[in-house]
Amino acid sequence: MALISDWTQLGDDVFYRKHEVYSMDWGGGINLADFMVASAPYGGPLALTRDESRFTKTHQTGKPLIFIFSSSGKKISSFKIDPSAVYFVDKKWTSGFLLTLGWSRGEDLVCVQEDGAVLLYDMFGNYQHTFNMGQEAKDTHIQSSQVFTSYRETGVAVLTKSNRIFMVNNIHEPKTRKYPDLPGGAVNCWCVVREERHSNVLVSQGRDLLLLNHIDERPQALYPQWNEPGGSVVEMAVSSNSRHIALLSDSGKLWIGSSDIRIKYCEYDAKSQVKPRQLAWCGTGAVVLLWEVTLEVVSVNGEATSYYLDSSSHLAQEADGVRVVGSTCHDLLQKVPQVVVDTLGIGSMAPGALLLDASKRFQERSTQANDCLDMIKDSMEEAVNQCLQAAQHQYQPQAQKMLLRAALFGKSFIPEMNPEPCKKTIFTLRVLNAVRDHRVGLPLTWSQMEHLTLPVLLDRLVHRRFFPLALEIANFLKIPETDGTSRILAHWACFKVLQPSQKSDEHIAKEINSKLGYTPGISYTDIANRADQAGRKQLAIKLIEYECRAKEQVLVLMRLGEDQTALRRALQSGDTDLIYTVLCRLRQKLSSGDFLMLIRNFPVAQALHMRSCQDLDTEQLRDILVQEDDFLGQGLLRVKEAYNSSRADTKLAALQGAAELFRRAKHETHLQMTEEQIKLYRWQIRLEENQQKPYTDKSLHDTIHHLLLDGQIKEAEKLRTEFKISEKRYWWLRVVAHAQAGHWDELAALAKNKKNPIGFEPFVEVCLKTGNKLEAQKYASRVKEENKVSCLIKCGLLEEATKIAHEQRSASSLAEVLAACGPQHQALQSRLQQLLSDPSLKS
Amino acid sequence: MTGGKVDFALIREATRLELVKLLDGIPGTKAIVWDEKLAGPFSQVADYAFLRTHDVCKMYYINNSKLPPNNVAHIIFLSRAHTQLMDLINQQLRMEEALGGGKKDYHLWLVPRVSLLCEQRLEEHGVHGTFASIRELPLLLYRLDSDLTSMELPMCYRDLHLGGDPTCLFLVAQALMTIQGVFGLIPNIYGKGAAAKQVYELMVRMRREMGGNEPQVTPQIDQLILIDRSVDLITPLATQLTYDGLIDQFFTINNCTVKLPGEKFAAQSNSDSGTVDNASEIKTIQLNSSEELYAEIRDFNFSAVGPRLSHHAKSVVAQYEERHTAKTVGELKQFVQKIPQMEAYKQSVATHTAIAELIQERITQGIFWPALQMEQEFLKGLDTDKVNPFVEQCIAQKESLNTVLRLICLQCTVNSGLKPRVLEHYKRDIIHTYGYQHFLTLENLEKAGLLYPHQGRSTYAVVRKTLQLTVDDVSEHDPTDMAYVHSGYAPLSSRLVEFLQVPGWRAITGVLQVLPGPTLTETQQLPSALRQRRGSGGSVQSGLEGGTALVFFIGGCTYSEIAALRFLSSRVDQGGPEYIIATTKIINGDTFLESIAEPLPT
Repeated sequence: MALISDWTQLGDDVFYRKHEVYSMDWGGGINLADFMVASAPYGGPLALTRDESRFTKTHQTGKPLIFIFSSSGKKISSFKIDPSAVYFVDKKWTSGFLLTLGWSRGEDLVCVQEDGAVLLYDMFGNYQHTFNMGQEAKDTHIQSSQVFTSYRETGVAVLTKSNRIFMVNNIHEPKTRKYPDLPGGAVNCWCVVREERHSNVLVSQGRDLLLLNHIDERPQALYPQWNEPGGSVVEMAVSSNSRHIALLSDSGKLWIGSSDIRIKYCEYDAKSQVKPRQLAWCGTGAVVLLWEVTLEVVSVNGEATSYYLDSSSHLAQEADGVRVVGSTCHDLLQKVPQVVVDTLGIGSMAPGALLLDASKRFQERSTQANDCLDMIKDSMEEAVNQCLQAAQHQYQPQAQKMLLRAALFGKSFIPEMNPEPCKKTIFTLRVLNAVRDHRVGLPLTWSQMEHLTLPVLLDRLVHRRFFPLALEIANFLKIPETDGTSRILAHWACFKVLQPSQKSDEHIAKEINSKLGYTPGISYTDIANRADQAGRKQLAIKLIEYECRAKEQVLVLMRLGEDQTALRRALQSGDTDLIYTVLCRLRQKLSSGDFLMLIRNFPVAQALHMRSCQDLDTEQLRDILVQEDDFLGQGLLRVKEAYNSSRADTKLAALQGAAELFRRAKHETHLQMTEEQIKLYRWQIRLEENQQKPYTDKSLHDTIHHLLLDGQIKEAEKLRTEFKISEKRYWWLRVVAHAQAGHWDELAALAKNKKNPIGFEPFVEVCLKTGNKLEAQKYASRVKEENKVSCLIKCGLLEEATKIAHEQRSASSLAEVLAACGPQHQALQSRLQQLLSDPSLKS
Repeated sequence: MTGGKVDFALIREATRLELVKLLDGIPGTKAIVWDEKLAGPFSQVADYAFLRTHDVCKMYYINNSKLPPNNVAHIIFLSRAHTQLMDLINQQLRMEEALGGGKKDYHLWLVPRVSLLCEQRLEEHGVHGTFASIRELPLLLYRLDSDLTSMELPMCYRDLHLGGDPTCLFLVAQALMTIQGVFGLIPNIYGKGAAAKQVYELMVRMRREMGGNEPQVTPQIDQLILIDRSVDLITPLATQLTYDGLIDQFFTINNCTVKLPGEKFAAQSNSDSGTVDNASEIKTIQLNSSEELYAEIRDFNFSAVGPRLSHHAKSVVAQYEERHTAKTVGELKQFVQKIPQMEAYKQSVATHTAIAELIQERITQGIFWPALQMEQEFLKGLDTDKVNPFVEQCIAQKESLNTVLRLICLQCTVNSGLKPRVLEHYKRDIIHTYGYQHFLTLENLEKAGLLYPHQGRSTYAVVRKTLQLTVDDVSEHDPTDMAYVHSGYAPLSSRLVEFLQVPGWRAITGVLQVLPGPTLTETQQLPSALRQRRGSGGSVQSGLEGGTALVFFIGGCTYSEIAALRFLSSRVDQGGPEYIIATTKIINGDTFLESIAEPLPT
């Protein structure tokens, strides 16, 4: 069967399969033997640089040229390591010899130089950052180095020419750790063995195997159990999960065991004195030795098999296999998962295998299908799951389809089965097939994908600038916008702003906006910041226009120095706090005059500024009013000053100032009132001087009132004429004052005056107010006819009131009197009721 | 009142949760240093007992004196976001530092949000770094009742019209976003007035700023009606005649409490409710709708309060009389069990009788009645274009300036401005009588659109007629029209709300054109998920005929308007919506004018 033709048995029921994933786009012209190659796990990119050590022993002359390819051999970039980047860190940089290439977890290229400098580039050759392995490493130079994956991050370990080991556990927080000193003598080989939170180093030196960790002061000697002791280890490899290790001795013996060397799984004789080009793990079940054109696979049980290659190759170790990159093709070697063996293995009677058979027979319209189904009646669900899982581990879409068809066929017999696993398998396989495509070149296996998780995969696609594909996947899998679409679009936009373009900034900004719109979770602030960092300030300004969060927008605009726009946007937001913030900054930045001229154009801003001045800075406020030729405003400000000044002269000056300004403002009423106040104030000062009584700060009314109370009628008269007080008001004043002072004679005299303009109601009321009912009664009968009844009632003259009301023949007046009757007026009450019953009354 | 469907208690709960989150974020003993203006309203959210359960053991005030010595681990400054307060906090921090208070952690919580300006001020003082944390407590709305919430922004109208400061509009919009966060997006938005439009625009902006993070809450409020106070300046100037309204006008209700002269309550001081130390002292009374009697009469016209109280008084007596009818031990036991309830009822009747007496006294005193009569004539549009002799006489007698200004402003408003000669006459009289120090107040009133010279013909007549603002034979005891709240005048704002439902604003476009500011009729598109849910039953509309409408007064509202809207709510059976009310502050004629008046130097 074609499906298992690439399987090789390696022990009981254990199979390995090797199949081509790509034929390399770079054509056949590359002899990998001439290159130093670094491959990133999870089907990541390949970095190649000419291995100068193979040609000359002298130091390289130029800068090393690095090529980056995708797994399918498509060139992503090529670049020279740029010494000027290092220059920032170390001014005494001398061209360092490139020692090792490696990839970080975030798929950045890590370049370790002989002088201890570590440089990071992204896969497009953009310089990221750099650090140093310490002074000692720099001084003594490095003989070899390793880039490894540590607990959560990527680390770098170096061995100096003075046999010292230094390590940085996280390249993003480079803290150099020194490991215990090694004894003198050549090191055969070494590797980093990661443990939970720290890393150990295993070194082969002479015939010894030494373990170094950063806690112990001395290296610890280890003694693996060799069948024939006495050899020295020349090559070693740790499995991707760090649990297992393979050691190769100078006599060609391969020792496989646990990474702490305590347990030995097997020992295998490779029967070769030649050191292999590469030693690597294939998943966790086998070790692979690579010679020029031979690949030897040794399982942990000691079973072995060989493959012949058509060119010199490079091994890329994965968690569940190993990729073999050759000059023309790229193969994947992995252990066939057990479920696949069960389902596809020859003669397998596993439910999955039977279901697959049944499905095939069914499609052939053969009745044998029924026989197969009969056999797995009771284990249909298991059969379905097996087919599904087998499909997951197939690389070829046809094989996937065949198995999925079988799974779905089986599932149709169990209607209650959870559809989620099926759905997930189908959806994920579609995504996997899409990213495995030649043009993308991410040869991920199902298990790798599970481990990597979908968000990381999206990130990697975005990183590789496959924006449309990432978007498609996000939409296809219905990932929430904030994790999917908007994040991808935001990355796209950030990438877009960094790309040099012929188009105008306005155009680019529009283009970005047309794609992004107002997708939730998109931050134009981030994009604008990115543009600004890239030195494209104008583009940043255009972009931030699209930010809908006012606060962010305004803060960025201010940072970009676009203060006017910032002010405009702050005003639009209605957020006064934001407006004040911009105003504050403008005040600091501009001269006072410029500032005032600027805010003139923004009425709300000006109003807010004036308001804050009102509390803090009256002079500034006056400046604005002067600038605006606002005489009325200035005048009112003066009036306020007059309120607040306690000294008579300043008060007068302020009032006069105000009057002058009101005159200029042509505000007649204000002018008149203010002038009157000045006149009154002067008058009051004079009165105070003459009478030694406080008069200032009293109103005109109160001044006259007090004069009248004091009996200074002449003085009051003078004021009346001076201030043109109406007869009515003056009469009122007099009536009130006389009554209050108890000047009943004066009041009576006033009542005799024929020119009375206010009638006698005030007389009555005022008398009543002072509690003098008797005096009130004197005037009650002289009030206007219509008010007579109520006045008489108020004075307690109910009999008279009744009489008048009766005369007026007014029902309402009679009722009024009736309402005023108390229990002591029973006689009157009945009389009133009698009067009220008269139908001829006016209502 | 314990809530229709939509209860503002939910908002309070949300705030309380925020507060608890903040409090519990700081482990250990805490002292809160209060912004004095916050302490009162805050008691509606969390009282001292509540705070104690969260390790708050000391309370101080933000002022210019140093904090008393204490041994708490954390000091929390709880303040509104005003720069002057930041200055005071700075002072207090400095004094603490001088005492070597380095062992404590200092925190700053700003209400309702962290302001850049405040942070900047703290940085200028160099104390920004002193705070272990600076957080915001988004407390915008204070629940006064299940259907009533206030933002406690008394200066809103003044800020808008005198200062040109739109801060409060921003806060109103934020408050509305908070409300929508709890009760869901409000699909229909109506509004009248410039401020209403601005608030709506800010809401649209804020919704956009939220992006896709809109709360997925099924809408529970169907309509939002935004009323800009400047649309109806008549109502705040008119005397309110409801029980609540009168209490507020005479004694001022603050945070649901009123302080009354104690002598009326002296007789009942033996009972333990309220705090009366001395007969001449002030008595503080909680006006709470959980008190049944108060809930019943609060919105009554005052003339109906007396009879109602006497009815209740009789029923108290009757309840006590039941003890004579109790013959068996069982009956007696039943009676005894009822005693605490009866005591509370009796207390309640006594308290409100006392309040009613106090009000009655004020009403009969002074010029309350004549001024009311004058006011009603103005409201009928009679003789509003000339100098009014009654007002003149009030000035001549130096009656309270507020009353005088209220009458003049009312006259001016219904007359669409006064003739220059009349205006000048009034102004001059006022200055002569009350003094030049009121000059700026008059100017402010002009800016605020309350006292200004004639501008075209008066439009009041048409508004009054169309909206039936004055009703002649309104029943105060058994009202059939909202006009009972002013004994004959229906608040213009509330009428607008009433007409929005029936016959709809389209029927009164003429009036809407005459009233100031734009008219707003907008709909908000709901998120698709919620739209479907609404359609498929379980919807707001189908649950209750008229649904729920939120009326938001920008610039304050009066108790009479609240009563009028509640009156409308009480007629849900007629198909109208149930109203809930939000306002920037509850106002009355005096507090409204005082907020506009120029503060006098002390």
